[in-house]
Amino acid sequence: MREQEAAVKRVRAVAGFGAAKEPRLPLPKMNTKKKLILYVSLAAAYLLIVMIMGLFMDPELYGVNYENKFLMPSLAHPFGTDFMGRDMFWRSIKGLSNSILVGLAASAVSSVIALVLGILSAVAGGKTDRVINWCVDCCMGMPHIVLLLLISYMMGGGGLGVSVAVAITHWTELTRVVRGEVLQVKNAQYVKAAYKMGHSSWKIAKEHMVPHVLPVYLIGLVLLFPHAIMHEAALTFLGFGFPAGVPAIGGILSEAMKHIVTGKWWLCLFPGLMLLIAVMLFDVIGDKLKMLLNPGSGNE
Amino acid sequence: MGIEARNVSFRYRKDSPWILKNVDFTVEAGQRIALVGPSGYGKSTLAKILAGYLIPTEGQVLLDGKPLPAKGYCPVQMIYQHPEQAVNPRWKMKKTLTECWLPDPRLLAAMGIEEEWLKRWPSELSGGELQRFCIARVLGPATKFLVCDEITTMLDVITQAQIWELISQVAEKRRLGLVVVTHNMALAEKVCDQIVALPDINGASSIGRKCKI
Repeated sequence: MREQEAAVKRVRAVAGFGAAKEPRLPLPKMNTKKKLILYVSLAAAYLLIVMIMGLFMDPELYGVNYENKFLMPSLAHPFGTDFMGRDMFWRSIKGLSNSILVGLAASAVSSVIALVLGILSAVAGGKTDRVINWCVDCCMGMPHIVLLLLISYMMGGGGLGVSVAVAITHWTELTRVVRGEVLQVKNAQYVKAAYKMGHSSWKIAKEHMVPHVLPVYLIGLVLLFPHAIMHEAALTFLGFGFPAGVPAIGGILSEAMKHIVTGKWWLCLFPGLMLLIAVMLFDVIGDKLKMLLNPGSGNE
Repeated sequence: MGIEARNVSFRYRKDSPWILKNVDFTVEAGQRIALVGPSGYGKSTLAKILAGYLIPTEGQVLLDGKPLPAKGYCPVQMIYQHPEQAVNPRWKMKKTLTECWLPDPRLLAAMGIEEEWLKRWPSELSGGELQRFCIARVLGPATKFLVCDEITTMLDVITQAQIWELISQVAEKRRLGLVVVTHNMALAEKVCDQIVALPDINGASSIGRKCKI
């Protein structure tokens, strides 16, 4: 045995492994699960920080200052300033924070609608199911942006209009997903077997059904965010969302349009990038959560 | 003590053809009956009706002269052909195994269930390994009858032999009634003491025929 170990050590030394190292190929420092958790928390931290910074920001930070019109990005103004001398860095943060708040409200409202209608549709079946599916088809059949514009306009525009419009139009896809999941688990053999094993409906719902539907629901909820944020930005960009005084990424971008031909590239580049990063981070969170919550990859 | 299907007929919808027509079928405690017949003759349907998973369109299923209990542990338990569909993919095996009773370690050893498997997800076990869990799960003291719907069809012959050996032992010891749905005549002859073939009711003659034992 000694000889063998010595031989192994020699081989390892030749192959570049120190004697103190693990007796196999060096493992990655973190397994996939830890890495995913790290990604998710980093992304969530970034978004939370932006949101909280925006919420408690002193409006003076992005106040009008005509002395500083159209400054290039510098240390004092990392994102430059606009035609009224407002600091674009703070405006972008405030704007993104507003977008995230609208996204949050939209996800909360839409996902609750989706959960209720999805479960109702799957459990009640029959006519209820058909009516709910018809509503979903109707909402999905209409171009989303048109529906958003109509609702926002009807509500009188502004912050309320855009919030309501975004909040009540994002439930359709998640409703279908929830309905499908509930139907699937309801008819699963292991659920039927559980009934025959004498478990109560309550226990089966708690032990079998909720754990099956909840991850899908949570992921759907997170993946609603980027949609909601993009739609908020789009509405404001088109002039049906937040009024001009309120910093919003969509508004910033539509203002920047007027100045891009004169070479004020920083006005649209940085706010646009921040929006893109926020949307992509939500996507990352949703995707990684999917991997974490899926039993097929949960142990990797 | 027995399950009795009385004049049972079944079809899925009002306008669909009968799958079972006027079937009478009895299993006594300790009796082992094989249900054989080509695909589509209603073997699995009858199995599901006997275990209470389907309600017969006409007729009734009686357990000791009373209808099958709607609530509580059903003394007639069914084991499926596809174990991977019969276990919750989000539960570790230990939870699945102990869903309705606590199997003792001796039974687990006899079933060839390894201690280490209990910590795994269903996706980390093979079909044969999962099927052992599905069987052990319903061998609790409250089970009086087992309906086995092609439970070893997808397994290799050695595992098949092991599983049937074990079920036979347990059935003998506890005087369980067995209904074995299978395509394998050799298996039916080896394991069961009676073989019943379901008649073809949708073929040449659509008149219901009785299948009596």
